[in-house]
Amino acid sequence: MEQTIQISIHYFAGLRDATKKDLETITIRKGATADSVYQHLITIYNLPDINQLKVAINDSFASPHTEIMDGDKLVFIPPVTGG
Amino acid sequence: MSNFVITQEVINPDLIATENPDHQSGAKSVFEGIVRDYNLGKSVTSLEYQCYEELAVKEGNLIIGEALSKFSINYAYCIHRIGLLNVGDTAVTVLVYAGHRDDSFKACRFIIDEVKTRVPIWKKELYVSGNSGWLQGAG
Repeated sequence: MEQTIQISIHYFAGLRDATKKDLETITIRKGATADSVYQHLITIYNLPDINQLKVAINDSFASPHTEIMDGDKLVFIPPVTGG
Repeated sequence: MSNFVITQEVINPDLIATENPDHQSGAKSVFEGIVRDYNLGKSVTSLEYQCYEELAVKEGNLIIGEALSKFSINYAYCIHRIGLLNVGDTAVTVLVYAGHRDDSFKACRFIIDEVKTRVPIWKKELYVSGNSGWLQGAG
């Protein structure tokens, strides 16, 4: 039987509007990477292409190719527009 | 103490009148980003800023640290307001003290430029027409 993990995903800006959620907890297969999680989300929500996004894991910037661990907090970061 | 601050409150205008903190600085540079009433040909009524605060504070303080290493300055501080802001409100203030004006100006410019491209803050424009939209990329 495939092993799974639980992670939380926090949404901001356009991603929050597209998902209509601030955050959610999802169950995914063990070994999944940040970008594979995003590809999964694209099948559920109308989200933009990941090439335009950065990724943060547990409040630090990370590579989209990073493997996600059980209990991780994952944030996809659209192009920023502060100032 | 963090020298990069996120606030939901009005940025205190007295901030830029802060006394010279060390009396070794002969220059003080201030940048204020203010909500304007138009963008890309559309009339803007207000802005909504959203922030990923845990990472924003971390990245903002990294930028302040980089400015202190890169330029000959004595002090640097940045405060960014989030939430709903009206036209004319101050969204961000950068304050730099240095021995001389050249590095003071350069560091101030460096900090606001880096904040606009690296810190996870996003703004949604609300237009006179009733429409709204998240901006795409630093302007």
